[in-house]
Amino acid sequence: MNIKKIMHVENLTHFYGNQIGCKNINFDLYKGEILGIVGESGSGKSTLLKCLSGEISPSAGKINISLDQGGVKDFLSLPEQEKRHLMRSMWGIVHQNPRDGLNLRISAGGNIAERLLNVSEKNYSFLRNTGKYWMKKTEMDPDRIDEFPLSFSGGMQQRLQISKILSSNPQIVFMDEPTGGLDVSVQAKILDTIKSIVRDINVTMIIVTHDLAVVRFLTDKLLVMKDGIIVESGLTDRVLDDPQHSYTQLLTSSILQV
Amino acid sequence: MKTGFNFAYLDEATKRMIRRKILKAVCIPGYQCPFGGREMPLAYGWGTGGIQVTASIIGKQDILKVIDQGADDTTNAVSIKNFFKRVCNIMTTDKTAEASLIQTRHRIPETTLNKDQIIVYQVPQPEPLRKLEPKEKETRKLHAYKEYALMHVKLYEEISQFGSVIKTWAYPVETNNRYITDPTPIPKFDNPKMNNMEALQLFGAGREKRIYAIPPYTKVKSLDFDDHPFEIQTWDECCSICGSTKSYLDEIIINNEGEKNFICSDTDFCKSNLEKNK
Amino acid sequence: MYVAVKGGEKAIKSSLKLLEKKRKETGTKSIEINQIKEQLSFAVDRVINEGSLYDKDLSALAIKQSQGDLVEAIFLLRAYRTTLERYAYSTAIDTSKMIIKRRISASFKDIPGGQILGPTFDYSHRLLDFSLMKEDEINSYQKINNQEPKNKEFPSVIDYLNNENLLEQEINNLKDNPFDVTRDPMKFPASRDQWMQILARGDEGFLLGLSYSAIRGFGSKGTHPFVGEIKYGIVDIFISPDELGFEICIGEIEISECQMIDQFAGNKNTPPQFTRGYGLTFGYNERKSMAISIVDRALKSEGYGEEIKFPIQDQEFVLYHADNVEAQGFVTHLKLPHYVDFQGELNLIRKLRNEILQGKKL
Repeated sequence: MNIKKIMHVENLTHFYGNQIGCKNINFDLYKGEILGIVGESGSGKSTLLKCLSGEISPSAGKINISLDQGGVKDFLSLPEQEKRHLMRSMWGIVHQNPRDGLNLRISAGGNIAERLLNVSEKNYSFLRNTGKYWMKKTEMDPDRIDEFPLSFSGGMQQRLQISKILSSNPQIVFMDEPTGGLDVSVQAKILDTIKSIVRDINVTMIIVTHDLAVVRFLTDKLLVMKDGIIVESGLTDRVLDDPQHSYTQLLTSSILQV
Repeated sequence: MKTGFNFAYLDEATKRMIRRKILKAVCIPGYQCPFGGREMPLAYGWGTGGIQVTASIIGKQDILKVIDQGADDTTNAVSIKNFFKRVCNIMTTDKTAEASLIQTRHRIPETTLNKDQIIVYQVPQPEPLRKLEPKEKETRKLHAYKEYALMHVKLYEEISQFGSVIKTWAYPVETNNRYITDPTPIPKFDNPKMNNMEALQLFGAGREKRIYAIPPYTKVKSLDFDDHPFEIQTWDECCSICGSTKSYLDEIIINNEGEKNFICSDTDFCKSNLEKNK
Repeated sequence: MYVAVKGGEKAIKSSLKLLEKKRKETGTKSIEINQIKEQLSFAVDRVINEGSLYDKDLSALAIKQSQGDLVEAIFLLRAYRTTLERYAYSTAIDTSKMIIKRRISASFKDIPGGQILGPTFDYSHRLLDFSLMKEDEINSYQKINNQEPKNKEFPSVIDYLNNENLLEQEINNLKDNPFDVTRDPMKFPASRDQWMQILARGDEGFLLGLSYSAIRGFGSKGTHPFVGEIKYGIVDIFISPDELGFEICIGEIEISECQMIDQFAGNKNTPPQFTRGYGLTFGYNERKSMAISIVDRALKSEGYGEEIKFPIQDQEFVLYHADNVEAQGFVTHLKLPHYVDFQGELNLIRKLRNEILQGKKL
């Protein structure tokens, strides 16, 4: 089976003034893959995510993307309009704090509709039904479609954010500590939801987290970062069960396996 | 000390600058062109944009009609008409059919305009997205990238909350399949007249310093959803003067008991209709 | 049958007559332009600033015509300005060569040249002086000794700080002519020349309110500005016509200038310096020049990378709303007939209420 390479990252580097954000990052991402990027705070994983998703412009390096529409594009040299269009429709970013990814001034249904309206959806009923569908899929109550995000709990807001992103059928989903800041029980439920959706719709994902349990549960492949560089990479199970790099060994040994 | 005025008040260099902007605006239907607006002897918000556009294109042969709320006789329309009489000495008229240049606030005449006419709209707020995004820096980007989801979401929200879109005036339109444009605070009743109009439509916002245009025979579509199409207002009553059932009606309270009458907002149309029916 | 109401033209004519009548009703003596110029000079100076035209006679005329409504007078002057031709641009005025009438600094107790109070209300007691209700002849005022400041040298306080590199430098990095809002529409982010012009013409009340808000806490961290130097006096105006190839003096104007010193910017790599704000107005308009200097400093926040949290730091908020000619026009335009649109709202609200009261499902 010919699995398509969807992203090729080469020597990606970003500096904040004199400080290294991330350095010489190289990897490939394949369609349907869930890639995890782990590290402690300061490891550069968030910087890397922001470079990959287009939120910041890296100091150096290359990102080639290959989407369903065909052809390989050099993401960093795309004109502003194409970049924005890509970010609004072809891929989505699930932020750690759901309020960063939601428009608090419009209803739950409006938030979900916004992504679809960016690609010129013209049918009101379709928007509404899609909203309810995705709310159900992320285990929210679809009758709450007209309520505003602030009336939902943190966990529900996160589910809403996920619904919003998935509703426009993105080709890549970036997740930044998707369960950080949530209660442990809520975390577990959301991870379950993500896992079942991922199985269902075969979406490609990059998940950034410090939590090894999350990567164990969700990801196929893993990049381990320390001080801005990748110290180890490979299949998740292999890296966690048989870590080669001393830092990875340190990480895995200090975590209680659930 | 200077006491006289140039024809139409503005100096020739200013007129030339504004005409260039008008040409640019005509080439990009619905796009708001910034222009160096001048301070006028009438207050900002009272028609200075429309006046500057009119002053830049008016000629000695023009016949000018000025309306406000559809009527020739409302105080500000009279004031603006007198201003032009004073600085141009051109002919003015109340009859839509006779005018070559029509300056209007908040209405499009009921009488269909023809290709030899120009209609100039007074614009309070040229930016249709302003209430949704207060920053000019942002709205310019949204127009440039054709990112109008914000506006469509607003319509979605209104339908989900009220059952239909509740905007009844300044109802946003899409011009020439490209720019979302503010039609000025005309009632949505008038929006269909803008589509494929034979006359040239010019828009002047003096305070915000923007000019935009819709050239003749341009597609102008009021925003809606396929399954919630755009609708105009209707009345159960007819005009109590001329009997029209096809025009926009004003509600007038006629006595202390709160009794109402409905009459045509377009005074010239009402008069002609009455004569026709006699 | 209802007959449409007519008479807009007649109504306008009558209202203008009533306005004239208001001014002449009790038959008092017509105020002379010179009286306004001399005895209401602060009003005259406000109008030349916001009217954006240095002509005290026309300002006094505008005040007389507008019957004391200064915002109206400002509007009159602006409208007149539009009709004027431009002959030349002056060279930048040199305030170090000012003929001083007033000059103080709050940053130092004493300064070379001294602290000169000049004519100011600052230390007057705000008690109504009823003797002014019936004043006989104006020119019998008490002669004041030492009217002219003794010292002719007033080295700039700012230069003193500059010598030690304690203060950020004012750099002239203008590539073209300064921005002119009466010729071109505003752009954002705004350059400093754009905002300085808008502030100079801006409404004093608005700028006063904003600067008040900043020093009370609605401004960048730790805003406690210090007045480096305030000056009021006379400067010469020079133009440099191409035909001559050298500068000639074409006259003199009064100006008020404020140099404000504010909290320092800097980090562990760059040594900290004081930042500054600058305010300049026509005539004796000191309060406004101080307000401008505080707003000027706040608008620099974006350039310093400071967090933008408050209205005074927000360029679009400040610059779009500072002009009282625009503000009064748009606010008062609400008086104009809006009945066509209101009709739409009436219909809508009746319909919606009906639907809900009849229990209609949405």
